[in-house]
Amino acid sequence: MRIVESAARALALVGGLGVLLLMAHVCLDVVSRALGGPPIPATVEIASRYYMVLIAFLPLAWVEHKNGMVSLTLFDDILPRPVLRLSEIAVAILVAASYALLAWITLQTALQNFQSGAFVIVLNSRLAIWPGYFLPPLAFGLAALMCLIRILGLTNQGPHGDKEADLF
Amino acid sequence: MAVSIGFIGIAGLLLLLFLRVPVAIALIVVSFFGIGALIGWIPALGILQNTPYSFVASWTLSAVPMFLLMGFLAFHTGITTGLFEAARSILWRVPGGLALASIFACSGFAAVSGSSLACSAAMGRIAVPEMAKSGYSPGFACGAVAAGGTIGALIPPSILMIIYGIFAETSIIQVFLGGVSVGILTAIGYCLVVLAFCALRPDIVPRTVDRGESLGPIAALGAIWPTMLLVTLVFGGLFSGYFTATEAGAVGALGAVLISAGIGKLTWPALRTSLLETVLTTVALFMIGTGAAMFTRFLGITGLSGFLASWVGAADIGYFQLMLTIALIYLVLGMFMEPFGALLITLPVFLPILRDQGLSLVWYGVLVVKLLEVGMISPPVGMNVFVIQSVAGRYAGVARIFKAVMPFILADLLVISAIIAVPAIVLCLPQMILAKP
Repeated sequence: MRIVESAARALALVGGLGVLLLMAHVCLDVVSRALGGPPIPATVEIASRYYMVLIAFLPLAWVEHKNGMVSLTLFDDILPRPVLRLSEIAVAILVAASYALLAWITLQTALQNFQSGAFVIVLNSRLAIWPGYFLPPLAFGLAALMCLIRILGLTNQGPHGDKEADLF
Repeated sequence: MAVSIGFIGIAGLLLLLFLRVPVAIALIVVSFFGIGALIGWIPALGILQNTPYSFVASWTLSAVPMFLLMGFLAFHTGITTGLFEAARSILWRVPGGLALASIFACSGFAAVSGSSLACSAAMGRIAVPEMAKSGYSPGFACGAVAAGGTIGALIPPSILMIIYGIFAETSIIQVFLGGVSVGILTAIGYCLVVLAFCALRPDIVPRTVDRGESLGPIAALGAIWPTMLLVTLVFGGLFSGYFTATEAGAVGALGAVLISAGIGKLTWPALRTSLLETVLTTVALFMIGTGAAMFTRFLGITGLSGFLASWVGAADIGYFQLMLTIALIYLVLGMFMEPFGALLITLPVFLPILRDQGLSLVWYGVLVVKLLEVGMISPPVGMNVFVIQSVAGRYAGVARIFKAVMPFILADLLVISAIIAVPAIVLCLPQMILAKP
């Protein structure tokens, strides 16, 4: 369990690095153009196909671990604890199953793109874009694993109660 | 048949949401089963297969993490802490000046932050203790800052407006500009609430002027120059055409890094926390966006939106009746849902109706953000109130803050009525600056 948590946190930090790279790359492009220089080639393609995919998928398991996904908490204070726990387990199973299906199905796309060596053409040169397709299955797979760990925790103890806890 | 599956889908979505399924997963599950039932499981799997990557790998969406980073950096490095002191130094002679200063400071913070939560949190920490010390009712002090925070999503940059612009395929810059006047109008409305309390209930808002130590004009300028520099950099460059709305976020984020480093406030913990909060919010938001993109496809296949649009057309529902219905739906949804979920589950249904009625999508974008922001302070799930409670909880409890925001919600409803009655309030600035509707 510790290993999965550490991996999730490390991937979230890589996502954070993606944020910094996106910022630096776009700003370099803006500054270069403002000074009358040429735009940096493939900024749009690299930003969307690499940085954005890094930022949006890699931290998913960690977000799941922090219970960061948005849901309605309307009945939390009304429902009795055992019912609440049952509903949390049922929801976690549905979420884990959804992530698992997403991981499997996006892996098929990743493999197809890997085999065909998917690329986009920017200024007459090829930019490989197939590596980015492996991030969704990785992220969804790890998030499914994180949900399974939560289900195990829920069946052993009370409901997840640290939602208001400090994020970091 | 297809339309009824659309209705079943919406009912199923609401059921899953009430069973506490995360918004993103609820949208994905309903869309998958809906599309499967309508056109088969292979196409349903195909949409599941392609949407996550194709939604996220987007240049326009890259503005979201960038503006989020800018706001979180402004908050965690404290480059905006001078705003409240500066507003206070100008307004100290006016009765109720501290509450007015906190609303002005919220408006200033709104120009560097795209979300109302960060705005409330930043000002709650600074302004609530000062107001409580000066004899304001602590509940009112918390309520004023919770309400003031909602200006954060109205004055650009605004994450809600970026997401709206992408889904409605309308100009983000125009929606931003429309938000400026509504943000200012909201601030004026809140100031009037403060002044009314000052006149009628001096036990809640004392009439005595603020005798606390006040900054001189030079010191006040010194306190706000980092914020002003950042705002000038982002919006100056954006409106003079040096960079696009998408690029403005990256320039703003780098600007926040450099300015906070320049005044010695950039620390590793502040940077790390800002980065992690940025990815946390981005991921949660993009997952909902992915689900909403699938849900839009599903509703498109059912023909439900077209059905509703033609039904509205045939029923000859007047403009005010239609807007009243839409406003009520958002106000009720806002009570229970966070704004992004509420925005993205409703847009696929409402946009075709609005297009059919020939209403301006720029105007509607600003209106909808304003409606959703009321949800940020209305009970039982008013996120801004919870945030204030978490940063200034020793001054007032949640129930007391909710009671205190009620007059501010009344002011919001008046602003909303004005936007509906006079769309020019929103549209005049985009038309004036960009010279096209």
